[in-house]
Amino acid sequence: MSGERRVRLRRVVAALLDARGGTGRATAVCDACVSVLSGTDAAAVSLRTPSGAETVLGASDDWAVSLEEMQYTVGEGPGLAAHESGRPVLVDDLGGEATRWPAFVDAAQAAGVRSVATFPLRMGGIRLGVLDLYGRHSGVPTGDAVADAVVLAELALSAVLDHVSRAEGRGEDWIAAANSYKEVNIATGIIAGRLGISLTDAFARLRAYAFAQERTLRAVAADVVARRTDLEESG
Amino acid sequence: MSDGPQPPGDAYADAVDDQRNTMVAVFAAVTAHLVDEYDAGAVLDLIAEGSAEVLQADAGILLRDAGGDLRVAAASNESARLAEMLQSHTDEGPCVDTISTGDLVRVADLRGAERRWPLFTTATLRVGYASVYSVPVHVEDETIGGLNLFCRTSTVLGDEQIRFARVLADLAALALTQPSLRHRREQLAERTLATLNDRVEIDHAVGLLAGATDLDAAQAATVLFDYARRVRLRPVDVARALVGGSLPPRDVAVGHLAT
Repeated sequence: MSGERRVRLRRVVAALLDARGGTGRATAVCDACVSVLSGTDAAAVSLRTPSGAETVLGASDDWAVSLEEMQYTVGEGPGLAAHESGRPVLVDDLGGEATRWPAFVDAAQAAGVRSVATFPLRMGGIRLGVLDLYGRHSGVPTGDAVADAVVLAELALSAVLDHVSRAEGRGEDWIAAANSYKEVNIATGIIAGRLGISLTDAFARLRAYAFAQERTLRAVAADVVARRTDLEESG
Repeated sequence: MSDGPQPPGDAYADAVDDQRNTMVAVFAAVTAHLVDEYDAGAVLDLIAEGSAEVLQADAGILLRDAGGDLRVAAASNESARLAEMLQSHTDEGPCVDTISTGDLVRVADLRGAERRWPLFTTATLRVGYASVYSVPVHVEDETIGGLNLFCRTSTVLGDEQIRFARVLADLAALALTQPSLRHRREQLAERTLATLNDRVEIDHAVGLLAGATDLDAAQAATVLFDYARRVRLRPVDVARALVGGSLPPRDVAVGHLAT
């Protein structure tokens, strides 16, 4: 019964949260994913607005953070697909998806990713973001692992809401404290303002430039904000 | 060991085991509903039917609504519904007392209750009930209703049976409060996205202001917030006007630009 599964996984998350000193519930859920789900080596919880802005609220390690940023930089991947469709996306062997997400598959394989499973975080009709699970080996998750992952995705959603609710209660700025792409948003505005183009076009230019330079969006954005580049090389 | 003569009392033990197994099945069915999206009315029906099955009584749930009126929320059969409605119409009976005191009411022999609830007792005896139990449904400190058990023969419920009924009454309270919890979570989810979105719009506008002028990003942020304070708008509204083009960057940055 799913109630027992939930109780067991909730205990795992609670123990990991204690081990972390009681802060970062979303990260504790990511840690639980890595410890409980066979085939999962890293996990991250990312929020995504309808306009496409993202914030990484929790991650099991830096590798997970870099993979989230990779999907954000190339603007495609299983996480985005799950968010847009509202359904889980399971990729047993990333190599087989090169036509679906050419840029992401290329970069992720180079980073050592072989399998990805991603679950949307939904509250009724509201899509808040995704739980992304990354594996270093290809392989189909067992039915039991998928059932665990579904419950962990629910716990991730609760963790997000709990995090925001507590921060609101204390009057804290939870976005500033999270791993958001603030400088990317500012850089997008700068390019739009300087070139007199729309924000959508400015973001596309930023993304194309980062891709062409094989750098992350965040690194390029930092250069734009510091006026170290005007993206001229991107044509 | 098992092929020896059966000790006395085994039939009783089997009956107790059967009742336990049925209890577990009822709990499993109710909680399985509660962890998924569910209709509170359907869960209350399950609780009434489960109480009836395990306790071998008819069962119903009576709730006090926001206006203070009693309404029948569930009943395991039509006689139980009638006994519930009698309490609702006469505003007297064990459940009325349970709601006002918050305590369990036990009436093993209804024939002695004519003085306490004259209208309810006469009518309920005529329906064919001999015993009535009313178990409070509490939400936080408030008693919002009762889970009522009606027996056709005079019955004394044991401690374990009462405990079972109390757990089901608590599950009924949970079924009734979860939707408002769900509503709060939906509002929180919407607010989370809106807060993120506002922040992104402000960041975009800060960049736009910096890109269209000679200000750096930190200065542009200060200028935007100062302007919002001066014109008494929220920063996000200024940001939207900037991004939407209705507010020229130079108007916001006036006084801050090198000439």
